[in-house]
Amino acid sequence: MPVDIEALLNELRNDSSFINNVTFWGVRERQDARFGEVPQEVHQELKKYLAHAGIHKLYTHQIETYRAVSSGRDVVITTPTASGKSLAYNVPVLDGLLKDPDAKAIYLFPTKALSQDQVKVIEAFTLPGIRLYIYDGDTPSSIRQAARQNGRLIVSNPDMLHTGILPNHPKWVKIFDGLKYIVLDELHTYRGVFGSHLSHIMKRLERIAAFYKSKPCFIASSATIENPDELFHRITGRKPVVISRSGSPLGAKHYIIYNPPLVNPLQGIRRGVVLESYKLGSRFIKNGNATIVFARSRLNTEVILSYLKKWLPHTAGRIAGYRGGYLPNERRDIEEGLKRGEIRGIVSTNALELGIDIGSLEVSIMAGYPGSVASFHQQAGRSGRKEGLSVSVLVCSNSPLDQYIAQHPEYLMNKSPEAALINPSNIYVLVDQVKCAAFELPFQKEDSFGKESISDVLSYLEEKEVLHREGDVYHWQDRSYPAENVSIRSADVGNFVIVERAGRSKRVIGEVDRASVPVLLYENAVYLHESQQYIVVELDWDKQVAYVERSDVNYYTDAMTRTDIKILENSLEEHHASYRAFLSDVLVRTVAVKYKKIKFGSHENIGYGEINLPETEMHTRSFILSFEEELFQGMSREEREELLLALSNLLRNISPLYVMTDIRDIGSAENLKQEVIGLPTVFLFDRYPGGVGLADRLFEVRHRILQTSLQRVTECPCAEGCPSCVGPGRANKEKTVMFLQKLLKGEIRLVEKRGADA
Amino acid sequence: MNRLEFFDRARSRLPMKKEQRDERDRNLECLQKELHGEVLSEGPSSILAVRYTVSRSVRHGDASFSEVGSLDTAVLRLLFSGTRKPEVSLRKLLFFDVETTGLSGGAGTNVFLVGFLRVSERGIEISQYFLSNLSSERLFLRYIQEELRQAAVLVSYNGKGYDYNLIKSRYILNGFPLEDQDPLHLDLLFTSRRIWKGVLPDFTLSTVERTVLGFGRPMDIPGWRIPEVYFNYIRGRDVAQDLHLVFEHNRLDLLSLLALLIRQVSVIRVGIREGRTPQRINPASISDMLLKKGYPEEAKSVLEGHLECTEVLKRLGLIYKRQQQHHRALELFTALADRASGVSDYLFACTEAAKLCEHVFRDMKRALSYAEGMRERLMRACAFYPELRERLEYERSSVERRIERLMRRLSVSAGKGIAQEG
Repeated sequence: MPVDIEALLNELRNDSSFINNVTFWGVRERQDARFGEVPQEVHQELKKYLAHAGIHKLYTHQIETYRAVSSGRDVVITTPTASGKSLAYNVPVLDGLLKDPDAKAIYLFPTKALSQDQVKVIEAFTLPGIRLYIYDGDTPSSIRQAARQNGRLIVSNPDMLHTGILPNHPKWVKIFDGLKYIVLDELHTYRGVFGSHLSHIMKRLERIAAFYKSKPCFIASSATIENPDELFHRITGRKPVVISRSGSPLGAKHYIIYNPPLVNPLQGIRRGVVLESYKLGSRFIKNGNATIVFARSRLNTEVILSYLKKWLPHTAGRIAGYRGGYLPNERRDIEEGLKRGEIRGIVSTNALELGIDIGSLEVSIMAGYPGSVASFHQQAGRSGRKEGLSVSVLVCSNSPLDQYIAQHPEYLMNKSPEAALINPSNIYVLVDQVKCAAFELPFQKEDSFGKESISDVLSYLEEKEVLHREGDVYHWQDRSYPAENVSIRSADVGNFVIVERAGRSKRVIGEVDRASVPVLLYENAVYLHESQQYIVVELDWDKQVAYVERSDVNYYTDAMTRTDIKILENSLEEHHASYRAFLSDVLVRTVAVKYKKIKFGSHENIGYGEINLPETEMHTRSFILSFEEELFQGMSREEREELLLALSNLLRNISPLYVMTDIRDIGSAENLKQEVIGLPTVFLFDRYPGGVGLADRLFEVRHRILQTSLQRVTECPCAEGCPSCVGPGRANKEKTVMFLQKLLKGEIRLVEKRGADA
Repeated sequence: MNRLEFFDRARSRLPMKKEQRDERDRNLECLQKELHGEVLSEGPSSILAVRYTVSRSVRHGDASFSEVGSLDTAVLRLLFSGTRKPEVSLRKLLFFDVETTGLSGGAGTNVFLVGFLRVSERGIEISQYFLSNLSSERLFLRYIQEELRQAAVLVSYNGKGYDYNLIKSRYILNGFPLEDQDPLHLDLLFTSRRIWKGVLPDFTLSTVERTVLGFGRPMDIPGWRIPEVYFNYIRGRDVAQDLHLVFEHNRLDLLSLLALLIRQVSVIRVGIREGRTPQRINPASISDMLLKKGYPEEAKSVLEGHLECTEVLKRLGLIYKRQQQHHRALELFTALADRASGVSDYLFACTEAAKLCEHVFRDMKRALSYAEGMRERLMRACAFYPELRERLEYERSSVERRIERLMRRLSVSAGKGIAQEG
């Protein structure tokens, strides 16, 4: 029986063990809708449908979008979750398709699940002459042909566009001929590697559209980020109209930031985020409120899920987990269960953060800051999509980022300072994409690719005998199908498959991307799936298979890695009075050496094991800080080492406040006396080969990062340094504060500036 | 630093550049000389065309082309898919086959050699067009389009799915206007599947050649090497020998197409005339094809030659039933019931036999014995296949109804019999 959420909130307000740890409790008042009339010129059939569906008026942002698209502009819509963004682009696109029988549209969603979800919405329109087809990896071949022949609106994803549609464009003549609209949903997800690839895929799309004499316009929707217009511009090459003022109504919502209490004030150790989130979650679920818990990792998802199932035995069957690595049909079942309200509690990674319709949940709990303001609002938005009261709780972890936010809620509630970054010039991405483009249409010698000059890439590919130049034209002359070998979402091709062995039977239970293998699937690692534990018994690196067996040990495992960095070339360099900053190409060598065994429940360390996997080498970009000797005066070697480690931890942890990225995409390393620079040095590097712009942005905002870091350490209530500031167990909090103060005082005197264009 | 150096180190596993001399002209000259080719040029574009006539007396495996002139057109018409029976004759057929730079399809796959074969009063005429440089594709395609346009019917092996689509892609990429309708196209892969379904292990052209035509190619260049040969040619290496082999490969493909068509026509013809054929065929799928075209007698004759096969008994029984030759139909269904190993064949046969006995011959006793046989078989099957239980139960309920009805009718007629006696 559903119980009033208000009552539970009151209970929490009066529960001193809860309220004393709340650093922020804000209520967003309900907002009324701002409507306008459906524009006169909207096609009769569409008006008929809207009226039939009970839509007699449109929200103001939907009307704005309609006007902008109808006048031929490119548009990015950045209104909040559940504000009717899809209707905002559906109305002008469907209107355009109705009015021009030759016009076609392509919709791109970042995941198949989103496509499935949206197709149901658009199909409901049932407009005459507008055949809608979903075209992705699951589409049977009989339907594929019909889609190419009769489709007016194709719903697909960037992967399918990249490997299926563009390389076969002659089969898609009917779609490209008259292609008028490209819709990019969830634009903010196209950042980093994925975004860098997508920007080239859009260039390929435009190039092919132009071949068929079409010039489509782009319409995108995005979560709130600092630079939606810039991201749109970098991906599509067009300057958009930004539509950000929402006219949709919002139910009242409570935002609570909960900072778990210190259990060891001296060392700054707080109660763990996993346990606190589980406790809070079970309270809401027991109260009858449909609740989603977002965990920061696959591991945490499984741990919280197993706790909930264990301690809420009556509802255990109605509590589910959701994350990458589950098979597609498992996921579909869970989505359906959520929509029908059968599932009352769900523990998910950010996989459920995007706009899949999972019905209306009342409570969302974030077990740790999700890493970006955009994600925070997306995850918070998963509760309370319909009108009515909803609650979002952020449970802060020990990390400096979380602790900064616990003390600066305004960072979340005000305008987002995060920029979504891409780097189309990444040479790995660029070469791969030029190959794909050359397969599709020959390049002329002087051609650029978007704004990217590629003459060197073309002659490189000629030399490698992939292209052949005849006259001024570069022709594809290779038997391969390049798109198949270019993975647009991650650095490497090919996931590892996880196979369960039980006696003689074998069963695939999941997949893991190659980059995660050394930290998840080393031999003897404990792997969790659907809250069942497995132990990795064999890892076949060449065949990309990990064999696991069920186990019931009382611990999980956590890998430790060692990193070594060589500077190849500096592209920017600035000398200040007390430090030097560099932006450089570097070679990073990493090896996973050991793993820790951590006991469930108490989280104590109960042993170590060796990892025997090959060293990996990566060429990438790094932001580098080297400090003048005088800052370290009077310190022993150990003290210096500790200080550097404290600094690199702190800077890395604070970085995501200004760079929209997962903290795991930034690597860090320290060197007491860097060979070339000759000074104590800290590296913050981009974990993707060639870099996706993270290091560049860090170099640019380094002053803000240094200042925020100083602020974090000063504000931290611990006595001698803790995991929330400079790291645990090091008596160097004071030293770090003094160090940063000295450093920043020297900041203003810029001594020397060198750079690529200086 | 050159931005590509690292890319090279991290990613590239491509081979080192080989020596580069422009041997293209020399290669072309060789081809021209050996195959008596002709350079067709227009402005800066030029391609190589090779045309020659093959004698009808040449042998192709255990096939020969000597009887090509007497090809049975009536049977030829049966090979076309669906219900159409186009007016065709041997002279109107254009056989074609392409060689490409990859198997993936897609816009980056080039067609570089297209071979055509037609039969005329002069003999078997073959023409091959070769894309001798990448800038001349338009000219190359113009010649191909010209050939294709003249043809009333195209004949290929897997050309519907592959060759023809690729040519169309090349048209589109070179800005050629497309015809509204594709020409009539006979794909011998499809007809082979129909005739030899279940007889041949697979339907690659080489399997069909080996098993059906008794034709092997000991000297042939393997298909996977062909793209490499062309790339090497384009990059100016000495590949005259290999190129010659590619032309030869294409020529043999074309001759196989012709031989295969002749064989298919003759197999069906013999099947219709004599029921049995020297080589194994799939009588069921051939008869389906004949029936679809409206030739029940011909279908019957193929089937009558293969009474050892349950699929044949099934089809033949139904044809006789439709033609109201009930005794023969009942014979066949009875034979099928005796021989059926699967439950569904058995049920089919008994149901048909029971219906005939009940409604046509009014032999309720015999009908009942078929129905009871079914019941027993179903009960056994239920025990064996618990996973099919639901379906089997459904079948059984209809059998029970049949038994009930037959019992009723039996007792009524028994009653009548008593009354009459009395």
